[in-house]
Amino acid sequence: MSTDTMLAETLARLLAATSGPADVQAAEREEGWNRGLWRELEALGLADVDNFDPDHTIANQLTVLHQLGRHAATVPFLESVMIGQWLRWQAGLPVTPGLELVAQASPSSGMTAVKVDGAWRLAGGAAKVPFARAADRLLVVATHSDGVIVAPVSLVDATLIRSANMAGEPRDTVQLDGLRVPAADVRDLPDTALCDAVWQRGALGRAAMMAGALESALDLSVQYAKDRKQFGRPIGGFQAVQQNLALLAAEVAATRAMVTLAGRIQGGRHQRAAIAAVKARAGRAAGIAARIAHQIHGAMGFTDEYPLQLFTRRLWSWRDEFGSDRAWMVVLGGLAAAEGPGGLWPMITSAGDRLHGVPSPA
Amino acid sequence: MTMMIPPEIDRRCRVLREEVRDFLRHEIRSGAITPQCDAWLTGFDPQFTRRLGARGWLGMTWPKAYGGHERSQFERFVVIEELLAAGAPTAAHHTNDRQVGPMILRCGTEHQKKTVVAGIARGECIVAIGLSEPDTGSDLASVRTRATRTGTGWRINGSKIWTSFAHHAHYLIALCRTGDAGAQRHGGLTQFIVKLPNPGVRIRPIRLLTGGHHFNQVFLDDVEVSDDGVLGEVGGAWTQISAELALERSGPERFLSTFPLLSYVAGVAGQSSGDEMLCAIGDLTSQLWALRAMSIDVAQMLESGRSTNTEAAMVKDLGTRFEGDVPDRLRAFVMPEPSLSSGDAAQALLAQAILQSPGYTLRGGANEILRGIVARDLGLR
Repeated sequence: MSTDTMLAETLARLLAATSGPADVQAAEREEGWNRGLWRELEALGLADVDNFDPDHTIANQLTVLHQLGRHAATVPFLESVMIGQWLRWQAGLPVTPGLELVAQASPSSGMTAVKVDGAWRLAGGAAKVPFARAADRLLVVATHSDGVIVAPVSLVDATLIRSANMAGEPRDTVQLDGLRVPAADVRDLPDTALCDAVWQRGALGRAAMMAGALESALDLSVQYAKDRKQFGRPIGGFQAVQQNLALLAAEVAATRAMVTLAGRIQGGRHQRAAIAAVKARAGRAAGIAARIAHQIHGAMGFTDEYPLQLFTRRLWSWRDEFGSDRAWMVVLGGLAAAEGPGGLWPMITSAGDRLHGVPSPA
Repeated sequence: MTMMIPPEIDRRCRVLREEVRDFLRHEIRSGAITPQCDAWLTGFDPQFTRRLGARGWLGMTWPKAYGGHERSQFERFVVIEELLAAGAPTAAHHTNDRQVGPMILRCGTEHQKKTVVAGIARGECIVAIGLSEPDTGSDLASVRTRATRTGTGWRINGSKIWTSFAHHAHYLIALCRTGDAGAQRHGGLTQFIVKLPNPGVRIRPIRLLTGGHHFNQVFLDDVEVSDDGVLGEVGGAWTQISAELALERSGPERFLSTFPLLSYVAGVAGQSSGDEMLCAIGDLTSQLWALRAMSIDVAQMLESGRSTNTEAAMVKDLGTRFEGDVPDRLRAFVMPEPSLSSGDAAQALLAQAILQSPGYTLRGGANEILRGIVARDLGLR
């Protein structure tokens, strides 16, 4: 059995017990996130990137994210493990206990920094920072006249304005008003491309979560079509319903296949293109799947008590986070065009080609 | 679940891919072939097929004893997809290489393998497949063409329709009723290999809306076939055909038929292209990339002997709709309008993609039927 399979099974058991529909709804009503589940993940060692097998770290993290999406689990795994801890390592910041999240509104905009008397003064705001309220510290990505720095900032030193996405998940605004941070605590980001890399990780991770949420939307729809009777038989017995469920299943399968592929080509020349493709593909699937799943469920599907909405509200939200499907389509189209005549096919076949093993970075 | 392929095959695939690309570049530059949409079904070029045979790119996975090259499924996949992506004219062998050869190897006689299979591998033998009938489309169990026993063999009467390239073929594989269907409706069907030309076989062309011709209606009147002409088991055709369906449904020809248009438009786009155009290219590229990942998954499952009916059905359903989406999305960026006779590549490719489009979601099993297969797997029927 692969480590991925074992990981998925362990998580599925934990999430069945801690992230059922009632737990998800309670999290949304109360703090906005599932603190109890996060403690469980910490206890299992899953909240620390150093516990992942270095050879399969992305694949295993995507497995976790897929399971979290499947259970609509409201925890900052993507933001903390796959993004926060990675950025901390890239920037060469020391490991400190507690939950650390990245405050960065988009790859280009963020906070600004000015150096005054051996310290940095940070100012500006970052909107829609996922789970910011849950953090102990924020890794503030700030631009200055010569580059970009990463500065750890205690949450208590920032102004936090609570907000949420359409699924009720925390997407808070963080504001700094000339906060002074000693230069010794701050690191230069060695390469400004890392800002885009953060964004790419977010897009890939969200796509993996979307694959999980899509699976749950499909499972609920199939079960409902079997259970719900109209005109004397289960509605799943009608060809019109069967056809729509088959379309839904294909969207799920396409997203899942693309997530696996994109996860494998980290580091290749076409990594950005593959990530654009997976976020675009997942975003397309989200719209189609949510429409079909709700149509099959009738009015029951858009009630508060029935769990479908936990997944469709997430799909509608997640498709726009870390770059919308449309934005990534434009990026991917631009990358394809940049390859020149005859360049599209080699791009698709060379990047972490699944006919091949690990890609060689070009 | 992903299976890694062995490093040695991986290396051979990379080398092979470059060989095929070099070959195709040369073929296109020399004017020997012209990239077209849907060329695997409409690009009939026996000379090109023979050149591929000479290079060992037909029957790649088959035993050497029957003209094959005993290479891996992955290497075959590389050659097939490179030919499709380039829009190369492979219609003279595509279905023969894909399903006729494997079927005869699986259930044919030694003589059939030595002649028909070896001929396909050389690129010299063309076999037409007679499944559909005037009253039989996706529901093959309703076949009426009948073969009855004679003192020396079989006599076939009936007709087949939508039989591609029967007018060029050296053989016709005819699906015939030889007995009762039975409770499951799938019994009593037998396949025969009929040599062409044949005094009892009359072939009538059915022209396409493009004016092109690959379809035929084939009339079989008292066609005599010896026992040597039976393909596989008498009464066992349903199983024989079903085994090939996954191969027929999940291959890259189910999503690459209009790729030459996408490739061309992406190739001429640039930094000055508007966001609308880049968005359309990116949207289509993301769909294509996912389809290819799915198709390779199916190929790997087939290689390891697992059942793939559902996955294959999903590839074909998504892939063939994608083939139609390509001209739909890109027509806004091809000026001034599509034309088969235009010297402008974009206009010609767009016209081909549009005019061939009704077939994408029908051939190889109508998509509605395939969704029924998926629905069955979901436990709905």
